[in-house]
Amino acid sequence: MIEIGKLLRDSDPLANEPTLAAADIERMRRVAMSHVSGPPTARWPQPVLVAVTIAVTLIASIALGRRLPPPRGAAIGDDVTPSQAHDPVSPEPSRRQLQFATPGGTRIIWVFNSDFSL
Amino acid sequence: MPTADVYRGVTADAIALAVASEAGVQAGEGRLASLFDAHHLRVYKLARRMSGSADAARDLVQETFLRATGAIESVPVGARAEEAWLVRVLLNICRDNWRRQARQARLSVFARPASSFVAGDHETAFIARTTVWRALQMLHPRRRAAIVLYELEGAQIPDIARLLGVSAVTVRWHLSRGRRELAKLIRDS
Repeated sequence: MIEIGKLLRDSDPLANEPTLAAADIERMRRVAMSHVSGPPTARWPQPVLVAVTIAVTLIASIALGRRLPPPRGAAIGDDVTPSQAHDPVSPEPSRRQLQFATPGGTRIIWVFNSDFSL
Repeated sequence: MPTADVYRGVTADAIALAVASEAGVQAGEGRLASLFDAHHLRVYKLARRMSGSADAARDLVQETFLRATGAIESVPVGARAEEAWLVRVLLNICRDNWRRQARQARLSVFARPASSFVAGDHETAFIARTTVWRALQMLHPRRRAAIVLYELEGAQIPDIARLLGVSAVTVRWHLSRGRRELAKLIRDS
């Protein structure tokens, strides 16, 4: 069986080599110190870029929203089964109805009066 | 038309900024100098045992402290925390180098004829040492570091876990897998 630990310890390079020479230490220290710069300055363009991106996105969304046609059909609740959704029964263009039936069988009719105002 | 007061204000601000920047540079230099003086030998010992030669180890040490230079504000305060931070940077560099090397280049080392481990024979002893260390180079740097820290530096598992930034269970797993991989590589060579 190979004794890994013993093999490694018998082969340890640091057992036969000297550690770092003083000249090497000084050279490495000098190179590292020469790369020291001051603290990073505030990257002011970055927040501005973020703000501009958000503004452009908002403007584009508003412009696109105005170009798109309004959604058709009324909202339907999750707990009801619409039997007739967005079915304008009334012949008058200013009055629209929405009829649906609940699971219990109750029929509900909503009449929308465009002339109604609070 | 800007007044003299405006010019004075701008100049004062520029001077203050330059002074603050210079102070920051001096603080960074002081921090790096103390970091280097405290840990360069420790980093070198680990780098030497992680790499194949003294030259490679010196390059690793240099690169480690250059990275510290670029991120001096990220270095935590305290000797143990600094040591752990530097060890992890060293391992990241080793890992980058290890990935860059082609698998074929590493495997080609073991295409040579097998040598026997005959005690007392200087040449075969040299080959044996080379074989062991080349097998060690085949391991993933983190696993290699766990083996080196445990077998050669005599570090305890909790200390290894702290240095590597992993749990003690992970360290034991790396040690177990690392020993098996090394044994297989040495046997196959």
